[in-house]
Amino acid sequence: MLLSADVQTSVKEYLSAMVDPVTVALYTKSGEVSSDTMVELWQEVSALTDKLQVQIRPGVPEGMTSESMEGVVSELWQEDRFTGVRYLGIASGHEFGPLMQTLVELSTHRQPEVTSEAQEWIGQVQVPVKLQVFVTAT
Amino acid sequence: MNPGQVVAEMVDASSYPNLSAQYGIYSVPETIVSGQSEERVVGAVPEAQLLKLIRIALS
Repeated sequence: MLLSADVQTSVKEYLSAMVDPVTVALYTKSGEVSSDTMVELWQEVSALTDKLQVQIRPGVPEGMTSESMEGVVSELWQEDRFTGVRYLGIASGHEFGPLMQTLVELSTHRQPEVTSEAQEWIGQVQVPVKLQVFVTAT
Repeated sequence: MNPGQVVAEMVDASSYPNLSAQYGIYSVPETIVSGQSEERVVGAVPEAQLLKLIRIALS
């Protein structure tokens, strides 16, 4: 088990705030460490709420190639639409909390914690933009 | 906010060493904004600064 009993209890309580279902589309590489880890992590998390579904999908995510997909990719989907949120690699340590927070925010359709001006401007962007935040698993 | 155009990725540098090397990632967190051009910032930054980077990347 990746999540201790105490952490499972805390996560279960936190995820009880979820309202609408969220789907994690998981793209994995056979025998690759981050893939094995995230499959197990997502299975443990999904067991703590009935609002989360994990789908292991074949191939690679849109915009990636088999070469560029060095490790696991977790995409968050809702109502059969990609939300634009993607995790490349292991979301552990300091990244686990924000990941759980993102699940609840999507599920409850909570307004993002940015100004309304920023929301309006970003909502009107007409060209592709990608924000990649590089972190290290702790 | 705009899933049709905006993608936000958290990249675990350890699991994506080639991508990290491609961008010359030496310290984290580092944010790369890719649009018409590429902009980047190290560390956590205020919303206004991040939005400025996005505007520059899209210009």
